[in-house]
Amino acid sequence: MTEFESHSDIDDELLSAYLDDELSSEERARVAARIASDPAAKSLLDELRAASSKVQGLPREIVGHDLSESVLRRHARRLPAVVPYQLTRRAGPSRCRACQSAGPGAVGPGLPWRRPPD
Amino acid sequence: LSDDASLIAATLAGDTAAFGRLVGLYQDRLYKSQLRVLGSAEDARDVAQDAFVQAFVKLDTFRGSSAFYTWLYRIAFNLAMSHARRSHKTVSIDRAKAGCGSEPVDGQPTPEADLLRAERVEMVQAALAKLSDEYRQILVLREIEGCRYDAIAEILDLPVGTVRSRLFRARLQLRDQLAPQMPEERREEKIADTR
Repeated sequence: MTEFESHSDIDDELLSAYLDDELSSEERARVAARIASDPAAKSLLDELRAASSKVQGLPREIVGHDLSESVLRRHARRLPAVVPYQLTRRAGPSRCRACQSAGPGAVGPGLPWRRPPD
Repeated sequence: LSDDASLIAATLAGDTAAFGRLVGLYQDRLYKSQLRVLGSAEDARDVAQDAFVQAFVKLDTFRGSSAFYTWLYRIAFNLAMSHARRSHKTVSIDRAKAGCGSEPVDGQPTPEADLLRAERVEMVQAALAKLSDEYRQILVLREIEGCRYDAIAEILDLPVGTVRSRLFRARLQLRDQLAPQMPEERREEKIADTR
């Protein structure tokens, strides 16, 4: 969809931004005056607010378990492919010292480990 | 070590456990948003996990010009968009709840209230799923993440004016998708008011 904006669209956009308190003081005053005098604008504002609150009211789902272990494990598995090459060819020894600290023990069996230069 | 900057510095100095703490700090927040973007618990977990791994790999490129979470979210956003392009599958919120925890929004204790709430959640999730990816992303950033327009502009790489217009259009479409649900709720509210 293109985001072509008519004059009326822009005015209505201000209603949405009014909900989010993202207007300048001038714009805010303009919207407040419009809401006070235009029932259609007030109705649209209420509808936008209702739609917005529906999403805000969704339950706060949680992962249910700690992702850190699997993230660190997966990162460690990337060591042979990523760290020695990038350390020697691109960024020098300061790049990702965490990878170095994970050490060869974190690398999968049979994969070559090459200690990056200090 | 308690703030992001300290944990990032410790990670870059070789303390992998420090990055684990960053994961612990932000995993639920990132997962919650990705669940609403992707509509699937499994996909949301995968994207969140991939985002953390990428963030760890690229951590030395993080310059601190934005908050760590903003930077992380941008990585997750790109992964989610790639995922969405590959597969547009969505699942109901009931299926999404399998295998993950959930905190209730309010304290209504009865089974009837729980059922009603679950139905409403499913309807909102279904309405979100019908929106385009770009509308769903911007709604999640504003309504769930609570981002200001300038932060949304940074994450989505858009001018603030486009954020404003896109968010307005996304809300209009969401309102239209939710329209069948709204009159029923207003009727229930009126009944509750007369009791």
